[in-house]
Amino acid sequence: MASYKFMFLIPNKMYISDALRSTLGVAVENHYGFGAVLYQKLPPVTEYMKENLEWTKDMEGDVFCVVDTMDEEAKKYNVDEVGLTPITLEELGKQILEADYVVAYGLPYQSRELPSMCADSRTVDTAKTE
Amino acid sequence: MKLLYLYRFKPTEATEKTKKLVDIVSKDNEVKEYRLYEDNPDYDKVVDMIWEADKVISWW
Repeated sequence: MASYKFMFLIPNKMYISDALRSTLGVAVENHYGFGAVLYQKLPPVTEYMKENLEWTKDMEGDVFCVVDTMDEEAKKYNVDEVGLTPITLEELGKQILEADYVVAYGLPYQSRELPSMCADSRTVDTAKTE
Repeated sequence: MKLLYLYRFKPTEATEKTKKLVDIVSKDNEVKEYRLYEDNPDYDKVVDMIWEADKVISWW
């Protein structure tokens, strides 16, 4: 089976933990899982999340902190305390072009109902998500 | 490389950094865009565009 490189782009703090789990998920399926946290300071890191990060790195993936999208406090926490790999927007651009699949993770649900041919045609309460 | 960018939401000033990243990724590539947030998106056309593209990225 072919192995692909997945790049998860994570702009939304609410979904960081889920996105890191998905990054690890593709890695354990023998793909290359990479994540990039933009803008945000990570929430307090649990042992579970730490294990996920370490496991992702062990599986030849990585989780980046896009340092030029966040303030000093967020950068310091994400890189020095959590151990994310610092990366610039320029470098992230190269990583995106090298990836086979790019997944922008955890965007708010769309307000428009999906067409019937889509499997997921839930109706969304936009007041809660936007 | 043929890139397809999908936009589900209208970009705002808060997405300035994202715009910079979009510019970096776009450099030297053939880029097409489709704005899903505009009225009555043509999903058949989106599917065709996805098949034609080497890579699809949903920006925010």
